[in-house]
Amino acid sequence: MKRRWKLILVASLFFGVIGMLIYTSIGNAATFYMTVDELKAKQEQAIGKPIKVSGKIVGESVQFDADKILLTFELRGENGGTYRVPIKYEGVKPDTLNDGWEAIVEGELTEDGTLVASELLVKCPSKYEAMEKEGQEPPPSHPESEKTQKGGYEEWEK
Amino acid sequence: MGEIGRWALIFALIIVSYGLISHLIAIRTGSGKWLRSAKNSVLILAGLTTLASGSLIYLLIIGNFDYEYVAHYSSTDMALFYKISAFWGGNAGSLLLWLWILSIYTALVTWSKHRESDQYLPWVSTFLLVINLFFVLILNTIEFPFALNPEEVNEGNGLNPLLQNPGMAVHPVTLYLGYIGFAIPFAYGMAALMLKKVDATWLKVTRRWTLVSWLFLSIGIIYGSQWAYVELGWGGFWAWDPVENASLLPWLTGTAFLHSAMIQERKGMMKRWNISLVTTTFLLTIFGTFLTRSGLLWSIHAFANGPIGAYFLGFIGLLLVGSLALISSRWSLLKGDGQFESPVSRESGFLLNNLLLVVSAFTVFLGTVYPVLSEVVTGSKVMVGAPYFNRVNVPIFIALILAMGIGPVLAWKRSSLKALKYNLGVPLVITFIIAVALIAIGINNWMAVLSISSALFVMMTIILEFSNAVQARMKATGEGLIRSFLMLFVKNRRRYGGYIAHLSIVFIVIGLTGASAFSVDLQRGLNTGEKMDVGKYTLEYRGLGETTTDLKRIVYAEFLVEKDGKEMGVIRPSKEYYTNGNQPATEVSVVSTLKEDLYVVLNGWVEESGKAIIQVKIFPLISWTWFGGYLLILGSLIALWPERSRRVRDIPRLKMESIQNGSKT
Repeated sequence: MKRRWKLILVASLFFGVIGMLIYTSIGNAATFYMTVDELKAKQEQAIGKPIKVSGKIVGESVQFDADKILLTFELRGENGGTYRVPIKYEGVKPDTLNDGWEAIVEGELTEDGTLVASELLVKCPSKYEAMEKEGQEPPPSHPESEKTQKGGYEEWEK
Repeated sequence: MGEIGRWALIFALIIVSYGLISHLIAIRTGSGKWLRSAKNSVLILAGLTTLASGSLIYLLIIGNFDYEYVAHYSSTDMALFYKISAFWGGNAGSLLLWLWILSIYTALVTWSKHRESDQYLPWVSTFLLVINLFFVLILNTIEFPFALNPEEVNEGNGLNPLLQNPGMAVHPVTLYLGYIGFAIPFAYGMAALMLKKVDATWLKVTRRWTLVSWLFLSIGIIYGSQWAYVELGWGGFWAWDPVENASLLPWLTGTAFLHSAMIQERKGMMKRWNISLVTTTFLLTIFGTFLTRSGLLWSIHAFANGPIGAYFLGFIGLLLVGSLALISSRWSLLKGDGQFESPVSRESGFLLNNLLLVVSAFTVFLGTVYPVLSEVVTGSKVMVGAPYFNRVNVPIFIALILAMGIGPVLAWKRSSLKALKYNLGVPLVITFIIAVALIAIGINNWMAVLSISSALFVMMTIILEFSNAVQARMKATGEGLIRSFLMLFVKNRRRYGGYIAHLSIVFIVIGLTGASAFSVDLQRGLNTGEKMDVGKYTLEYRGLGETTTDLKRIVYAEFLVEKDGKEMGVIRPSKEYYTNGNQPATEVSVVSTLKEDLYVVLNGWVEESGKAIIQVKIFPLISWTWFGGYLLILGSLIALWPERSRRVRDIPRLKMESIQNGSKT
């Protein structure tokens, strides 16, 4: 019996430590994922937290300062609307930063509503997404909605 | 040719069904005639899938763009090698490859012979055929490798240039060979349950299959990340991305299984654990294929890729329910033959290693599916990134490494603390000194200090094991040093091959620790003529250049690299633009030495001024990881190599064992 208690004690200690490890790490590493429209509704709560926002690129807002390697542009919601999320990104302008293309930006929302991005991903245009929706394989030149820009350089997420 | 392939697949569906039914009849009636017919059907199945795969490869080689798959994944200008590798460039082809390998494995197993194979094999083949059936069904209902192209085209799209790399072309095949191989120990485990045979026969028979699959999986993971490092140009080797995790999960549980199987073989313990572990591992390989093929997690549109995800989930559910039901119906039979005698024993060492590996797999699984889980539970999608995985898994891995040092010196049953002190005393003291020294030279990353010193600790225990064994052998046989060392591998391949594999893990860990804890990462814009200092290196920017070939336009930035003031040479990180409109690829420049890699990426440039924007990284010790990978292959091969002389001596022992087992059940 004594042996059994010892075993239970050791096991609960082991799983307790692992549980704590998971619990604390997940809290610290969690990133909320939302669209521009969702962000509009929850803007105040989102300030200061790590978030990932997806929206459409507003073409005329794109500015790239080559000296500082600083890229600024805006994201808009899915269905028009006037709400824009200004993005500030220290990195190179991707070749695919075109008007209306979907981008996913990861970073932190500052008090003034600007998203300071640490990662920027641009998805390929909707034609191929539509193909994906229909269960077709997009052509290999655009094999992914994941052909992306990350940290200012191309990454192909497998 | 495409018609042949299409019909081969249709016939494969029929023959799989026939094979299943005839196997079941053969088991029921014990009729030798039915069994022969069933076994032949498995051969025919392998023939049909070979025919189907062969015809797809043929279509790819001749470039018959009447077929959709060919038009999507190959083009006339591709080299023959890549035309063939386009076979697994897309969903339908990958699944056909899965089926092809699986059916060949099935045929090999069905026609193999071993102890009690007459009883085992009909069931084993039945379970394997169920898995075959799933893939044949998919290939005949939702993913058609031989679908005709709706529009007429004269040229195909070509394979993604990133996949046009020898390593990457082979990478999926090695992973698949690993994934699929685990179906065999799983099928044997299930067969053992059906037969109510709970001894270790199924483990002994499948040991090589498990080890080979594990080896392929390891190679797939290591060289997959090396490919990411060299080819993808995002400046890393492991991103904890769902597809990477998908391959790591079965590796973790498979590694646990490799170790815990030894306890059942030796002591008849942990039977429930082993059967559960092999089931989990196999399910995770299917789950991995599902993740890679359905695009569930990283695509914003969950399940956007059509019904294939639902098929896979249904199959996983079916396997899960079926195997759980079978295991629980045999639960009381699966009671272990012995008990843990002492907390300080080889058995508990294995137990600890298993717990850690499985827990690590659980945390990786949790993090991977967290976005889906959180969306279901809370309604908002929450992702966890690399910080979560690192924070949770680095401590677990360090504990694992320590266990790897201590475990092998523990004796079976009960280890005296005195013996432990004798074996581990010196290494422990040295490890402590190393740790203090690391802190003294200014390393303040606790995890890195722990990881490096525990890795060195393992290295010392392995060296001690070898030197003790060599000395003992030299004394006993009078052989020379080198001969005794080599004879260790001849006499006990499994054990010393295992040590080599452990040693390779030490190298991998040291490399990964160095490259992740002490990496340098700088992004900078440089004008022509400007210099930049990184660590001991000086990069002098000499301007942009451009070359054009038929296939691509390459823009490169040229740098003169100096190390400690000494000229090392010129590097040209570049971007390649393909004339056929494919996305540009980034070609990084890596200057690799034993101590560190200098890693330069051309991120972009300003057209007017010629200013280049580059990212410079230094990865200390990373080449140790790749070296560890080769060593791992060597170690596993040593452990795998058949022991000819031993088999003869084994026969009486095996017989005795089977009598023992027979009397127990």
